[in-house]
Amino acid sequence: MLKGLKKAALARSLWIYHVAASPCNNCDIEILDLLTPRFDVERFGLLLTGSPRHADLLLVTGMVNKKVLDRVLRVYAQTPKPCVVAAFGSCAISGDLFVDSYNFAGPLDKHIPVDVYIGGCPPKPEAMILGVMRAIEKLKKLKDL
Amino acid sequence: MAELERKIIPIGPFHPLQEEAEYFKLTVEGEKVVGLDIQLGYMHRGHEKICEGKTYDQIPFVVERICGICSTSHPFACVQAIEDAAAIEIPHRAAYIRSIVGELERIHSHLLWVGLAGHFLGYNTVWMWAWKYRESVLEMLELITGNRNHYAMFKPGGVRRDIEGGMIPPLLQVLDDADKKILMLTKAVLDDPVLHKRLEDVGVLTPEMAVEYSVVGPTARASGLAIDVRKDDPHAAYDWVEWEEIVLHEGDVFAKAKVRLLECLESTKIIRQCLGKLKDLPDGEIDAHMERGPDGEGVGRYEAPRGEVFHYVKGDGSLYPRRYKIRAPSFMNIKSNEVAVLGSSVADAAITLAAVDPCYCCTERIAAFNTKGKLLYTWDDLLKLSQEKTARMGGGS
Amino acid sequence: MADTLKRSQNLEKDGAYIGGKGFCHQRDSEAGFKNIEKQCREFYPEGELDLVRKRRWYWEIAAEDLVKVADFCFNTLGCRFLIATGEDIPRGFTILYHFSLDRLGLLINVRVTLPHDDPQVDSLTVLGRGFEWIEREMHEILGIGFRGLGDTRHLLLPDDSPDDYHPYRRSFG
Repeated sequence: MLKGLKKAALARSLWIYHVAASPCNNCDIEILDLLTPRFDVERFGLLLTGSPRHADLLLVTGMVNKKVLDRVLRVYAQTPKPCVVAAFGSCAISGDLFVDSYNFAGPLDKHIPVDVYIGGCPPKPEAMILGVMRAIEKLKKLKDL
Repeated sequence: MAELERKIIPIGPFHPLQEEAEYFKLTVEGEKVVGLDIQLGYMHRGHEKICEGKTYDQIPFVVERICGICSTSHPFACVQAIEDAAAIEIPHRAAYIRSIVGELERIHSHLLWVGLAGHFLGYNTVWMWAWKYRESVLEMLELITGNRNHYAMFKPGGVRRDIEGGMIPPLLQVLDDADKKILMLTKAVLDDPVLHKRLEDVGVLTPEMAVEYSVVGPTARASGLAIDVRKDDPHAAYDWVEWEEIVLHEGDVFAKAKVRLLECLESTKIIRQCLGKLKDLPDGEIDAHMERGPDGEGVGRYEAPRGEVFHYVKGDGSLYPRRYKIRAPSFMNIKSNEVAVLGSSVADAAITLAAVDPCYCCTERIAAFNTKGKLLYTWDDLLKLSQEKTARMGGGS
Repeated sequence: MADTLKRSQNLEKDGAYIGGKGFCHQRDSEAGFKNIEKQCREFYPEGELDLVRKRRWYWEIAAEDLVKVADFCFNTLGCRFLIATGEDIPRGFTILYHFSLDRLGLLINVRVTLPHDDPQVDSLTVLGRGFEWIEREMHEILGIGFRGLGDTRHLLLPDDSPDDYHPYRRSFG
């Protein structure tokens, strides 16, 4: 019975914590855009939370520079497992055009395990919604539901 | 008499919890802010060095990704710098198209700011409305350029895509619609008595301080400095159309908001005139076909939504620049917060820091501790303080 | 502070900065450009003033006269400070200070050259706080010393960067 309750609870609301690891803000604005009336993902129960301790999904944007790296690692450590990490945008996936930079600290999956890759510069809102759906599916599998 | 305890409220990256390197560190005595220390570096990606290794036609793509909100401002200044160094003129058609894309971006960026400011103050309806109207502007940009952000429109010598005659009527229609909505939003925001009480005399930047910190953009124009690169150093089509520079004198957050909203209306005026002139121009060249790299120094500037963007390039005749310098407007504006936020209450800190329109990510890195390292206010707390203050005054929704 | 006040009062009389409607663009005034050129040449005749284009001037000056010339541009002429570009070239480090005279749309770029082995120059923070951040940036990315710059903390690079880590030097990497 508890399993059914958990399933229902998880399917209802996914708490997302957004980690900005040196992005250009485009991806971040597009994430916020999802909350606005045109796309309105809040009706799917998706919420942006203010603390990684409540997060089910970590949405990481940006190319991860050296100054921000240990904060990203610390946020990942604080997020209760199992959680899903999504690399959002080309910068998080591969570093994009910043691979040559002296301040580049490696693409995200070099440091933390990434489950979902949402590509684009920035990803279109439709791609983001698809990515979040994949993340929800993966999370359900991880939590054994 | 007990001394007022001086507390340090750092407003730093990644919210709560620890000892983190702070981003904005507020020093507070009682309820008043008495000092501010700012730390950067979380976004530093080394663009200038990357540009030294790229050819001149690759550089606009690199600089576009400096900031996603004013994403066309950097390529605009970039191609101007390269054209200045090479001393070439661009075709008229390209000039009009550049102005159109630049002004559309200005509208979208100002609406974005209005939405975020509304959210910080507790007017979530304003946030939703502003961003909803912003969508029609983004649709226009997608129609012209192919993408909602990061347009890849600019190249040294001209633009990469033309605005064909068939696109103009639907654009004018969307523009008329957007005009009405922006006017309605402007009136709603500027006539609200609670917003007047909440934002007037908050975060005041005096003209003398504005000059000392060399601020630019709406931050400067709200403090009485009549500086706008589109008027001072005309480029593209800005000298060929009629529009007004918006300058106010109060220097507070309300003035900054008013400047931005009224600028949106001027932008629609510019776009309409440019589209009209484009219709009358015969189809023609949009590219001056630069054939070799510039040999010499060039400077390009553009009035981005946040202020003057400045690019400097030094070429030696080859395909790669020797030195490339980029100065975003926020570099000068954010530092002025040191004086603008003095004397505000903690509840006003959030909106004051956001009034210079820094990158969204800058405002994300905000949390607060006391001198002993104990967490006092997170960004969510500061937001709540701000929103509660508005509610106490009788506003918000 | 007193200087800034005096400067902004002068500018107001001139109609140059403060006033909105009172602001008068003189960018097509030949006399305006000639006047500024004359003032520059009279103030510092030892410098090399190169009028590359109508609104783009480059001024080579000696490093020890930097504060004097910058004060002239910033306070006497009433220019606005844009930014400074530091560069590592074969004959030394050059810093190009960009000043904008907005009513003419003119950019006066003041260049100083410093030796490679001990690049030191006076800090311009004596003129105003707007110069601080770019000097901190040049200090960390190029290793240039600014005499009188109080705050030399890292601005952009990570705080734990080693002392000799200067990414914009040609010898880097």
